[in-house]
Amino acid sequence: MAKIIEMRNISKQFPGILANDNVNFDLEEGEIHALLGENGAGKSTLMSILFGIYLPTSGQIFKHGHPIEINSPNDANNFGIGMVHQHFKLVEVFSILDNIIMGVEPNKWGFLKRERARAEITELCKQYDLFVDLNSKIQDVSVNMQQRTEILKMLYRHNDILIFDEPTAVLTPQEISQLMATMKNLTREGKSIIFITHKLDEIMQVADRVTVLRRGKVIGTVKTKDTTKEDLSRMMVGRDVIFNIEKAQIKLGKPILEVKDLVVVSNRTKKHVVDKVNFQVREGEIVCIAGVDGNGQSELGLVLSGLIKADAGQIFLNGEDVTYKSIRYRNDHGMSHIPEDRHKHGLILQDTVANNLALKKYHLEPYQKHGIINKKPIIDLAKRLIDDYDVRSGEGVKSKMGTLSGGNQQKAIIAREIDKGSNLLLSIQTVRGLDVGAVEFAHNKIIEERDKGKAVLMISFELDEVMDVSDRILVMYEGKIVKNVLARDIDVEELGLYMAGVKQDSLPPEKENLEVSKDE
Amino acid sequence: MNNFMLKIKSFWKKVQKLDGYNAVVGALLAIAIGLLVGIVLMIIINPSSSIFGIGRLLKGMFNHPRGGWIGLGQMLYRATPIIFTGLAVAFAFKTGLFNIGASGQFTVGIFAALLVGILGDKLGSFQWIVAVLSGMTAGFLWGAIPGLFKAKYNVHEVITSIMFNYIAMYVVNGLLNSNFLKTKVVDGSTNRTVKIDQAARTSYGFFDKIFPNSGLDISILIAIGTAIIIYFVLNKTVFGRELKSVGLNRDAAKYAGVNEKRSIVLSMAISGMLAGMGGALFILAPSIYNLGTVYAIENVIISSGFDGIPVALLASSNPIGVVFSTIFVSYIKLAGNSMQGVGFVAEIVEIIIATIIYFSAFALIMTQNLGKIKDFFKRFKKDKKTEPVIEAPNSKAGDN
Repeated sequence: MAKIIEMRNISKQFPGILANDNVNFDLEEGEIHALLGENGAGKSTLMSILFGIYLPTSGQIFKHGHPIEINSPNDANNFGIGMVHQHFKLVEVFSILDNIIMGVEPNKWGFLKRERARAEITELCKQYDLFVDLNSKIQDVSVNMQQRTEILKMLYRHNDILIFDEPTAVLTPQEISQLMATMKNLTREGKSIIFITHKLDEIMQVADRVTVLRRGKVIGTVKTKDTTKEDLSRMMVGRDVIFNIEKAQIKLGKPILEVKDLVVVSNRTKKHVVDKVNFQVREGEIVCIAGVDGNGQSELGLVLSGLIKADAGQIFLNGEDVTYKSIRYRNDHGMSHIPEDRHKHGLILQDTVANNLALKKYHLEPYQKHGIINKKPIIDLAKRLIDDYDVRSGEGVKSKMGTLSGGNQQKAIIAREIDKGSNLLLSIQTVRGLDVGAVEFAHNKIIEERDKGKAVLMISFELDEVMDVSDRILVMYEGKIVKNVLARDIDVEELGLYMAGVKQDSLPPEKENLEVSKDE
Repeated sequence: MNNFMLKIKSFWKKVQKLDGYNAVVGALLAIAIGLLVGIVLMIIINPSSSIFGIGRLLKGMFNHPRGGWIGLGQMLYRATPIIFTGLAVAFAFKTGLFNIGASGQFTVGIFAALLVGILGDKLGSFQWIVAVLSGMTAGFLWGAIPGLFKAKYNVHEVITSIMFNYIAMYVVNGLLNSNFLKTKVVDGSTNRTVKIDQAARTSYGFFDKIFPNSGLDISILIAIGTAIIIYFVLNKTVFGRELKSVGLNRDAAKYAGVNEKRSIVLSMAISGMLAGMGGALFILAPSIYNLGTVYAIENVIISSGFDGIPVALLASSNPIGVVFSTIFVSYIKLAGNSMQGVGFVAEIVEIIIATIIYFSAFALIMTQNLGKIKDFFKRFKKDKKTEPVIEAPNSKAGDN
């Protein structure tokens, strides 16, 4: 096969960090080439160079063997290179049609020819089996339709080199398999795909070849059919990764979090998104709430943390009713919270890493005295957490949070929340955007907390995580808890049935279940 | 000698690393461009006398016919109320709000202070302090209302605070014309308020010795002190940190446990308080002619609040910077006045100020992205080299 794109000896220096170090990468026509690496390994930087967002410090790019120069995304587009970014670049209030044609509007004398575009796009949809509703606005459609819009944007521009930057991070398992099929479809039609990810299963499933990056360097390029998951993870992390986590048996203590008949009513639809939910989380156990996204888990997380108000029911933290207590009260009385949306809630991106790591502590002594902020302990705290949790940034504690890679931002949040030493850890989508090594690290940290006798409540949309980490699983479906089971007593298939709402138990009372756990 | 140069160099390197370095360089660059534009304009408009005009423009307050010291004093005297409104706007900016209602808060500050200043005879030597405090309170409350609307109902503060400028003006004028107040505080023949009691006026302090007859009083010291306090609150206290984090990311601040609604109300209220304090000290000033300042009952919004916006912008919302930028604006406005003597309209100065504000935003971006600009120029040279070497952009911000 002919090499369509070749990147030779690419290096990229950022202040304090060499993001790419003499990287060689090539893409063959009609293949899916996965780019694998840890958070901050330089995958996104390399692709940003190919897409013209950054200029390389040194190195050259070739297309069909001819040297080309890509100075801007427009140049990249002219060379037929398109990219689906991790955070979509769509105009929320525009229709899907308008988003697709934005920037390359078909026109006559400056008058927009929407219908011409509509016909063309409908044709593309058929050809590639991509369904979108062209008239809907982006803000009203699901995440995976937004993603299809991004794909159509590239196709409409006749791009033949498609870059997918962690496209599966925002999708449910079903949507992921759909996307995989689409990608296969695209290559069949002669497109070439670069697939940035750190999920090994997906790579084994669709990719033809894999290039592994570690700390800015290429470790190797291999054919997927000649390799295994274990090999890839070793290449990526530089050591063996244990996929099955060993957990010590531990005695359950007293209940830390207790939820009674909790109800949240949606402002928009007036539906009971959390519907009379009852459960307990006790010392020394990890309870995981499983379910397909959109069944009330997000709202449950928000209401437990205090970000939204409960409409009925009660929340007890350490035996104390905190239903109507402030967020700060909960923070200071034993609740740690890894939020679902790290950019919206978890971090102040314009602020420094140090300030973000002290976000929940600066109002306490010794970080302040008489209302005046004490800088030194904050810096010390930040330095310690950066070391302990391997948060990588260009300029250490002084870096702006927004300059860190997504995975490192998440690590910073995990560091802050675990280090807080609360006895309840509420952790939502803990490992979203983390690579295998970091996932293992985060999970070990969480299990460590449990072994110390802390109570952990996780909310996760990823079945692997649910099965690996939890002691007890609660399945949530349409706002209700439809299954309460010990993790060792259920397998993935059965769990899937509960998640899809096919199977529902009349729940045994909470007490009975606790008896079961006590036997351990 | 060489050693000395090295020392200067290393000192300069340190200066470059200071937080405000980019902002200061940006502001100075903008000022230079603004003055240049003004000069070019003057040469085009009136070539023959442009040389005198330019001279007066650069001499600023030193053009004063009765000597430079008076001019200098006048410059500071005029700057004082604008420092307060500038601080009000800057404080709001820092906490993520745009307080365009400083004029209204300034007006209610004037009103509250003049009532105490005229009617509060019994307060004795405390009269002026009480007057200032009541001006501050009035501004505080007036600023809090748009804040409440923002926090409770998510109504944008620009809309409410603009409307509250008008409401303030009409309410104050209406109250002054009411039967209750008219006879006591309004001079019917001039349609202005009567003068503030001597005892309630702010003291000249020692300024009438240094800058005799310039009108400068101790308010300037209060203004500078306030700027320092505001700087301290914003940068060194837990309270200021919380207000700022609400400004940067309201959701994250809420998540971290900050009562974000209360913070928004307080930010607007404190901003209003600063503007109200400016109004109070403005009306309580003993003024150039030792006659006291008066408030004219006209249906016009006082411009002092709006004047606070450009000085805050020029200072990148740094409270200490506001003092300097206000003094500069005051200097160039005095230059504008004296330019009228050689056949130029004072409004040229407004053009210069507008240009400066325009470029200060631009210059700030330029200094922040010096690396990228270097990149840009290197790109042109690149063709000639076989191995392109391109420097990294200064920051990775916006990566996400």
